[in-house]
Amino acid sequence: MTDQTNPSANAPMAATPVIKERRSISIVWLVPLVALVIGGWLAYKAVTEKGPVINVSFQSANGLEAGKTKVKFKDVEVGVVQDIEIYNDLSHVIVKIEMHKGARPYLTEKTSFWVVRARIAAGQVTGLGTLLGGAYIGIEPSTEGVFTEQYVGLEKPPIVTGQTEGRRFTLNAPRLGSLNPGSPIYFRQIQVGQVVDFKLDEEGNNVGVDIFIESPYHRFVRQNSRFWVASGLDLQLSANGLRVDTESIVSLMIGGIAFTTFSEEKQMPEAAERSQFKLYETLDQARDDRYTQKIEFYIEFADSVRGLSIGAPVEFRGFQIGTVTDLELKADFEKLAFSTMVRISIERQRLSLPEEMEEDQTKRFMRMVDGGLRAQLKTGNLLTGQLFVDFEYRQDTTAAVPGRYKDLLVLPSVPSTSQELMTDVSSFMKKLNRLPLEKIGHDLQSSIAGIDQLVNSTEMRKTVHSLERILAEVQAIATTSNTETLPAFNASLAEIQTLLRNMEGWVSADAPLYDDLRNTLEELAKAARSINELADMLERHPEALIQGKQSEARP
Amino acid sequence: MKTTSLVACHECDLLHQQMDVPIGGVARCARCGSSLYRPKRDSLNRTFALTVSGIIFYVIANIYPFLGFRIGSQIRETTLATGIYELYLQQMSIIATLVFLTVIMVPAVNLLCLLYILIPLKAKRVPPHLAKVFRLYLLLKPWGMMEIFMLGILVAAIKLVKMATIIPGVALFAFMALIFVLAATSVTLDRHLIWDQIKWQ
Repeated sequence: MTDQTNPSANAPMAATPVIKERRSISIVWLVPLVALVIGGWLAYKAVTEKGPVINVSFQSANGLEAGKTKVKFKDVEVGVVQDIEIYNDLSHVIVKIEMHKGARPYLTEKTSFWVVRARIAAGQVTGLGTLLGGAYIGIEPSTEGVFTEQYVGLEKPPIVTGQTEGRRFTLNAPRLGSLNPGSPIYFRQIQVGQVVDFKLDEEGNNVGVDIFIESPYHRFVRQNSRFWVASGLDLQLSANGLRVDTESIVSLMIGGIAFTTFSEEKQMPEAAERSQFKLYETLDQARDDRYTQKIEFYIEFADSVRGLSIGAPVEFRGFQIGTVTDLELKADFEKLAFSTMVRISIERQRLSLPEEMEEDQTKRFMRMVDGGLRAQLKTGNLLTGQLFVDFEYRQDTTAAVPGRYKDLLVLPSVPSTSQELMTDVSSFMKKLNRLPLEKIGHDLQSSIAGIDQLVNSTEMRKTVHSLERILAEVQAIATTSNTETLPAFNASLAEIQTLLRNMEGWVSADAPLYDDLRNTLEELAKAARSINELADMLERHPEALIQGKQSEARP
Repeated sequence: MKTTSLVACHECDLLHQQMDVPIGGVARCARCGSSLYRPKRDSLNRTFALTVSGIIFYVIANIYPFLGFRIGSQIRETTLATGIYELYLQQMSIIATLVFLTVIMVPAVNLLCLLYILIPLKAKRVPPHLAKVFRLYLLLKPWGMMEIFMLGILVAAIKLVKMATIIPGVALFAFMALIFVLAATSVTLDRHLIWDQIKWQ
């Protein structure tokens, strides 16, 4: 036991070392590290780039698709539709949109959203790109107001976005006409803006048309500018004849508005944003509205006013001085007396009348009536039978006392020319009726009996025979002369033909002919009057036929 | 210290005594010369590291858009899942199921199996049902066909290039990384190391 010792026992007591495995980190851990870095970076990006999520409500989700439909501003994607839900009460859909990160400052209460689809309206085709690429949501960002997550989407894309510079105005019109959002607005026939929107006022009496005039043209809208409907074709058939007016071919199809500041008026300062203007139906109305100072009268006519319309001109010696504003029938059923009261308004500026008190005005017009001023209905256009009111000083009138009707002065009138003619003709007929036709007939009969006797006498027969012979001779002469006379006759016919052609030329020139015709009618009236007088005199002094006209003074 | 155990040759079934082989060396069959096993350096750690990165890539590949197609101004992005769902919607449910199993399901199960095995082993403990889990892993491994799916995608994309602009997504790159990482795990994993953990009577 002592010799055979374990070698290990020989050695001094030694501890077995603790062997530690190499614990260095293997290079393979780089792989998950890289994966982690990439994953972490992606996750970080996803979190930080996550923009605000907003809810926009629309009437319908037509064309929208969750996860696909984009929100675009100036055709750059700024968001994507995440989800589309139907609202609890089924009235609309809620579109959940995840916006891009930077969009937050632009998402305020004033921001608006709409769906862009292909649209053909108001002379424009928009959103054609959406036919291929699908609908997208348009956004008009705004930095005004506070951030919000709930929006109500617009059903129609706004025509003018906040980016366009210019001014908005409101036009008040009695009716919309053919205007539509997008209808053009012209200034000197250049398109300078568009109709943005229209709405009825609360009472439903007026249409407010919102328009937008682009910069730099908005400067031309002044406080006294006038807007009128340049809608389509302005066809006017009035006492002035037929007139066709249009602003442009586009407005011909979709309507439009034009405006101008009349050069006769002084230039007022530029109109402020959202100023209100009146929208006139025609350029003429807009122009006539320059005459703001008006004097109103009534004219009493005994005859029919058929053909006289409201708006018909009131003329004095061919100048328009006013318009007809109203027509009414004044009836007195007791006496069965009817007359038409025509209300006219005379534009003082057209007459360059001085401004004065109403009483002085009345006096002035009374004086004019005393001087023979009378109103008369005249035919302005033979073709259409449109009438107008004409004032003229007349010598042949009886004195008239201007009355009053509904607090307005009533000016006297004389029957129209056609009326005068009619009365003259009828009185002539009456006189004709009173002629002793029967007696004349009787006398004629006895005369004819005498003639009969004369014709049937033998002398007469002889005469007839000799006449026959003479006629035969004449015939012979005629046949010989035929060959010579006919060519001459033909020549005359040709001349007549050219004459007729010339006359055709005169006839087609209309204006002088109408004048001539009117003159002729007046002449005819005079003639009729003369006939009247003649008949009258003949009735009283039938002997004048034989003895000639005697002086009236002699009894 | 290893307990002496026997190992059979893959090819000719000759039993050998298992012996320590230096790193980088290889044990060959005495009879047919085919390789019996080669010890792998730091097998557990490396495999675990690759598994962890595999899981990260797997998550990225499944969350982010895989491919985008742009026709005109319309962009259509797909993820792996929406692609499979799309196949299903187009009445190709069998193909959809196949793709789902081979591309999404099998890699996920494989990765989870590896995690289940490796985490306890690194803590020097043996997880319960190690044998069953490891066998499941070995069974499913051939069914992971991400490479084939990738090739299919490439062929389809090249054919579509003329019709649309193709925008490769983040997931596509993660998917490719996942393919390599999964291949690497099968290289670094020492099977004998796992089987040796299991006590048998």
